[in-house]
Amino acid sequence: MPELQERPLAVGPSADEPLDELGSNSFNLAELNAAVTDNAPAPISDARRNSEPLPDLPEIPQQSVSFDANADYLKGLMGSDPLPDIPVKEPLDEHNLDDLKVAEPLENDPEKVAPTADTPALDEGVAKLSDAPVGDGQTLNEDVAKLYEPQAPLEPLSSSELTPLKPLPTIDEAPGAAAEQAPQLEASVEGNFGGAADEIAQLKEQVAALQKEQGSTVLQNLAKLEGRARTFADLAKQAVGKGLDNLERTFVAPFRKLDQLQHIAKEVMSARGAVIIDIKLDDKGRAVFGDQTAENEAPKEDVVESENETTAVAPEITPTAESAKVVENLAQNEVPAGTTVDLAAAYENLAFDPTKMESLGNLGGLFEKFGVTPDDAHAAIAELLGDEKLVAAALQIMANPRMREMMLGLAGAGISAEAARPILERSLAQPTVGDVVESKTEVAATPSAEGAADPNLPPTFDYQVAGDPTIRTEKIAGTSPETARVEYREVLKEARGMSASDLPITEYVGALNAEYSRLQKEATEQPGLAMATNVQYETDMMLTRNGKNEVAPPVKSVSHHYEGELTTAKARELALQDVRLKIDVQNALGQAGSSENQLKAFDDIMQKRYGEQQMVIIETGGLTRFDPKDTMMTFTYTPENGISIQFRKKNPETDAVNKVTTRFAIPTKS
Amino acid sequence: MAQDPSSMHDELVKRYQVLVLQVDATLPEELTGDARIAALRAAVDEQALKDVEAYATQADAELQHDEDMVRVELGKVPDDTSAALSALNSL
Repeated sequence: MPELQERPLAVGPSADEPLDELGSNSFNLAELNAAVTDNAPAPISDARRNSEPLPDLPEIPQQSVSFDANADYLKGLMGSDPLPDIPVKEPLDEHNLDDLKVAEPLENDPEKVAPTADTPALDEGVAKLSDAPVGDGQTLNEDVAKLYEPQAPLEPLSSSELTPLKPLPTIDEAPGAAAEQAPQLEASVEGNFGGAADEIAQLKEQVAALQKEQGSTVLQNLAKLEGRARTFADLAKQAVGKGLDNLERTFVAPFRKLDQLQHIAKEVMSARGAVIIDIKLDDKGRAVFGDQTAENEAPKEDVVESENETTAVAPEITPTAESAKVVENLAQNEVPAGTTVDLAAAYENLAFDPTKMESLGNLGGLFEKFGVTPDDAHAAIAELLGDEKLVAAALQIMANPRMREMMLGLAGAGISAEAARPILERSLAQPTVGDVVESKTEVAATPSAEGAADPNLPPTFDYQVAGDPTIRTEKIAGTSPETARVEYREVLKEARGMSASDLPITEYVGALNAEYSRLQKEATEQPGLAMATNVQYETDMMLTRNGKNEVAPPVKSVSHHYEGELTTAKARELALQDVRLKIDVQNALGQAGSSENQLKAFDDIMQKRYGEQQMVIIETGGLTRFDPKDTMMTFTYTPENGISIQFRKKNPETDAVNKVTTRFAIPTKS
Repeated sequence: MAQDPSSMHDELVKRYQVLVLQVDATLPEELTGDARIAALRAAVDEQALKDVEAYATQADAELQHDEDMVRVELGKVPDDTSAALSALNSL
């Protein structure tokens, strides 16, 4: 590699040359360019650039520059020392600390704050300012004194003083009330109006829970409406008896109004529940909401939730492990075997009173801390609840986290005590699906005596989930302990899935009743009708809470698929019987309470119908929650497979469909 | 015009939230904690009852007309008013 030659740079005048008339070493530009060109190294080709390494740069000698050297340099520039000498004192230690003199505080030295001739006294100045008129002529002192005067509490504004809220839609503007949505009342017009009356009665209960004063106008109006609905039921019965041709047209309008009233009132109660349970106070004591804000109409500072939020309206009761144990023990002590606890009454007593619920939740911890005896605890809780009969049920609820969660949810939705009763009972009795399916505790399986006794029957096995007293021994048919175990879990899942906590059991039973009425009418009025083989008969209708039928839009819908074989009156009779069976089963399940009782009730009904050789086939999917907007119930009957009812729920985000299918197989009678 | 059910629920929720904030602004500062929340909840309850009552009144007025029409259809003089009244009284 050729070495670079160091050459003097011949640019511009040398330092020795005299300055020009401008006082600078000016030089010719052309001369500068020529010098640059002459001294420029040869261009480096791309090949060379890529193949030859760059020469090492000469090493720069390390130099240590001392402070003194820099100081001398500065001194030389400035002609004298640039900085005066700064005397350095000895560091403070315990020996010279006393040398420091601390000034006396001013308040201890009145002379130091005494006014001088040039400075007016501070007190005098303040006095002048305080006595000077401010604003409306009052002095500052007067204003300050006024601030400390006791203030009379503000009176809450009356309703008329509040900003009027936007009017709600009328009955005809309510969901589902478009003119083209005339309901198609099927056979049981009378039943539909009766159902509407029942709905209004339920609504009346909810309203009564809110309305403290007796004989209120709203209750009177609802009672009047209930009576009117029952009157319509009577009129419908008369119309059917008279063979009124335009039965549907006659009753469409009143039925629609009743239905819409129920819907609106339900939405009102639901919204009311959602709001009141969400009211909280921020750190300034102002109302905020947990996860929703009122837009536009409300000041932003009023709806932004504070990070320091501590007060909750409906506290999530989370007792400590110790307090939960005490409550649980109390609950067990309070509920002897066979005792029926009135969960609905306890719900009514507790659910709408968060303060009371919180107090009850805290009592467990207090009892533990101070060693309160069960009797004393009982008395204290009875006093808190105001009714000794409610103690057992309240303790049952408080000892069960799922019950507490359920109760708060139901109360938030404004569900009445009676409607909540079966839900709470099942919630108390049953484990969650996850408890059953994901439990690592295997069930114990032993062949039961009954199963071994009759070789013609499927073998049965007794099962009990270890550690879960709520799941008692059940007799499950299965070809092996393993298959029976799976079946048992499926039964529990199904029982859970069909409970009112996840599915609208009242709606379900209502739909069954409507279907029963329809089939009954068909069997009665058209006994000679023979449907063509394999012709699918299908109707689509809306499912409302009482099985009322309406045309689209389907908020909830039921499809009836009778795929063939309904060619004879016998087949229809069979279908009718099985619908009746299904109704009986569901009603029995609703009243049974525990999973044990549910299965027993189920077995009783099935055996009564079909004898010992009945077989139940239950298919389950992953339905975990009921959403009326995306749920469809399909009702299918075939002689081979019997009645099949399938709930399907569509996940709006993934479009995945979860389903639960219950099929009652009709056995071959021997 | 028909409303979407979910939008009706949301509208009602918003309506009651606004009411809460309005009432909250009128309550004395001395009213704090659970007592304040109870007052706010009572305001919502009162409004919900008014709403239900409004609908019930509207529905009843319209149903009265419908009932008359049904009786005309049946060719029957409304002679069982007493039955309806007795049903009312039994509630």
